[in-house]
Amino acid sequence: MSEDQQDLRKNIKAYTEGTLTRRSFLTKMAAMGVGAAAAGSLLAACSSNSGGTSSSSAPASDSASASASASASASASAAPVSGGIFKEGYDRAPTPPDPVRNAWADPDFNAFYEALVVRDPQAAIVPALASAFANNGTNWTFELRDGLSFHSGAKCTPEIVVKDMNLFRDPNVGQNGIFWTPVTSITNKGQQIIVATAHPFAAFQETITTEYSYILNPAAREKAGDKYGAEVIDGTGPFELDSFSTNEVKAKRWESYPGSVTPFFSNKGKAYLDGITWVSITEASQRANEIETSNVDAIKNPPPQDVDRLKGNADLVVQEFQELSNFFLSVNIGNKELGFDDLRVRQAISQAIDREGIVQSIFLGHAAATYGPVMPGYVWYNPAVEQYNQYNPDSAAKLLDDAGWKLGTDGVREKGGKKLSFTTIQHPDTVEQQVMQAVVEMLKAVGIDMKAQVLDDAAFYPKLTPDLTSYAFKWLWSSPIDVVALFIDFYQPKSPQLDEVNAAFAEWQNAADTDGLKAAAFKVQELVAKQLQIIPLYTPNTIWVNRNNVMGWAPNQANLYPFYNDVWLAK
Amino acid sequence: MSYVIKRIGYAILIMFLASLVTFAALRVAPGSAVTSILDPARTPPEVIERYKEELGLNLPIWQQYVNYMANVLRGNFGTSLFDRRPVFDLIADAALYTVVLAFAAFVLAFGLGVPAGVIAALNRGGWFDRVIRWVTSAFMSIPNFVLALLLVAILGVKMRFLPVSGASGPANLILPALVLAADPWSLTTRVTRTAVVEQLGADYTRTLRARGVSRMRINWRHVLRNALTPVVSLGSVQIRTLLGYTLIVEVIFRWPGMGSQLVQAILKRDYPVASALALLLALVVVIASTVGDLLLRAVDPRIRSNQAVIS
Repeated sequence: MSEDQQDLRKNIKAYTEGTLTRRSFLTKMAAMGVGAAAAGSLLAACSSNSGGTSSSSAPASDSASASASASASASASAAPVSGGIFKEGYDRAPTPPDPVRNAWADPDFNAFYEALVVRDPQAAIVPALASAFANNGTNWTFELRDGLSFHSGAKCTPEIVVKDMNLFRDPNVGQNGIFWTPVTSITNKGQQIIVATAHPFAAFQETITTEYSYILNPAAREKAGDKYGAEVIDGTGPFELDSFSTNEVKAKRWESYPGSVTPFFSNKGKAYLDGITWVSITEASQRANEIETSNVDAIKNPPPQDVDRLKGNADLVVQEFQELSNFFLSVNIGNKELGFDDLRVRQAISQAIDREGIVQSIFLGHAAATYGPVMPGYVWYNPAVEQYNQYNPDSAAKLLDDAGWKLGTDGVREKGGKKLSFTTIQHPDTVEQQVMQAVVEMLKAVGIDMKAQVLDDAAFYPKLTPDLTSYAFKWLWSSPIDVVALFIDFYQPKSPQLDEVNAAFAEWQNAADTDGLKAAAFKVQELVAKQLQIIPLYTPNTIWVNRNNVMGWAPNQANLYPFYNDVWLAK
Repeated sequence: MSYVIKRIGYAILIMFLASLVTFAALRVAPGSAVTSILDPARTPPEVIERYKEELGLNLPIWQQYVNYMANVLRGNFGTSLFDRRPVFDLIADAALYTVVLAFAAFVLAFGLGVPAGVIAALNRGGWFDRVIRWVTSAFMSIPNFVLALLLVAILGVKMRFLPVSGASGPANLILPALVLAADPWSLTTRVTRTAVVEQLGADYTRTLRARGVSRMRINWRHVLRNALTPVVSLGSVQIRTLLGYTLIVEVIFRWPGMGSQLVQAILKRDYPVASALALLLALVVVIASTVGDLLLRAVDPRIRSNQAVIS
């Protein structure tokens, strides 16, 4: 046991015995590098054991590791108890979990499936189904653990993993085949899986750790056809499918789970919980009500205005950190009529938007203004982006004047008889609608007439083409640079204005190691902030709330959703 | 008999039109089921086309309609594009919840509304009458989603007296049923009160009183029977209103009935589920109207004789 761990346990013991006050406990945790969120979880864990209650809050800057260590330590502070159904309120309607075909991953992926390698809370890649892995120039190798099987009892062999990977990379089958393009062949030699690439491809670590690379039994998938994900799931995760509907997904513990080697899981054996139910609660305020009334054990993203109230509730633990997402506005850089091909117009739009104002007034501080395309909490965030896109309506007005867009009598700018007036489309998310209404007003103040049209998913996506004038969107993806590349490459028309940023994306995809990835990520961020192929606005905090009898549930900033191996319910 | 046949004929015609309108409305709405399932950015166009073909969405809309109705008439409503379960099974599950909720609200609305209206009328101007008038006015003027939020905040979140959503036990039914019943209860109470007051002042009531018939017998046997005509008529209208409100109430309370399923299906363009649900809801409304008309005819002899004169 490390010295830190010993200190941690000593402090927990002192707190539970009452010889350490709450304030002193938090101070000591801070000194050890444990953030408020983590310390709050610890207090909650201690309280549930000692009969008291506590709650915590966390600033957005709290590190991902904080939550994870909180969870691990919380679990360590009392003996885990098996049993119980963990009920989690989810902010979307679930889709049948299928890593091959899904366009969206839900939290149940982490219960049903496992990846070869996974990100730990500090974002480092660590073993999961593979006991070891290496990147040697144009080869990635993974050593598959022995004795693995699927829920159905079928063996999980290297040949099956190869077959899975070939499904993932086939653009006719795999929803995310585009991220596998540098891969030239996938083979196995004994337990070793070898992924050969056309060039050095360190960014493969981003692809291989997403939910869309989770291992499944392809034979079961083929046999189940369209029913896969809804009636049949054959993964290697610690839970099996019990039932699926778009309102509710139920999982039950897989009794034959062979265990995990993932270092940040404290439970190396089968799951503690009897089962998990994910309940779709799409209305944010309803999620807050349901956690407060014990209808569910945990929720994601209550509305910003409810966060402080929830933090004040002694029965709840609130954790928050920046989401792996970014909300941005895009204008078509090929549109000459509206002047979007002119960088000055894009800069004017960007500088007319008071991002900090949006963060404070709409999110009540539970978000971060973004001046570049990724969130400030990203492991390779480039702070240089902050020299661009700062709120400056006077400068915005001057840029528009310089670009020839003069203020008309109706307050809308025009050039050559054309009004600077356009419609942007967005999703029906309540908070995003408030944001866009604020942006509409901010742009109006500098003479830009933008209307925001709300479309549901089914109507939104077909419009999303390189011909679209403008859209606003929030991506949620564990590999930010990959997703920024996707939005710029897919939804902006071909233009010399993309040459530099595309070259930076190519550097990213050709990077041979972490240093190369970092350098390319830095370059991409600064170029996008400067050239505004998309106009970044903000990253919301992802806010996780659980009742204080929930132990080992440790959302972290490196993964979209928490894992369930360590979760247990205190009596 | 010819009246009954005529009403059934109308009902079939309305069902046909309803099926046509709902089918077309879903298809002409922007977006498609395919783009709800596959991300067009990450899916090659040929894969999207192949999937459209599998679902029959590449056919002209009239042909899709003919195919759909042919299947429906054979009892095959298709498979949900998202749940991947037979639509019939999905609807059967959800229908049970909706029927339970609507029945509970109906019982509350009429079981409490009719007696409340009668008692208020019999004590016209008294404290009970005043309270009833005040409460019914309040319930009729507060939109039911506002009432829902108020009840959730007070009885659920603040007092922890009732569960705020879901369907995990009988207690979960109370709040949605109360909210759903509030408006129809108010209307039933008011209509009953007005009808009873009207009947109490009618000539035949005075005659019965003069003949020495007991007050109890006059009120409950003669007055109530005659006062029920508008209430029965209201009943069939209320079923339609209840169904409309059910959509909102089920979403607010996360009650897994047909209303919340319909909303989800429309948003996702899950055509088989949305079409079948819309058809089923139309069927319920048409049956309610038809049965309401037939019941009214049975209760009120004047309607029978008027129709006899007309025909």
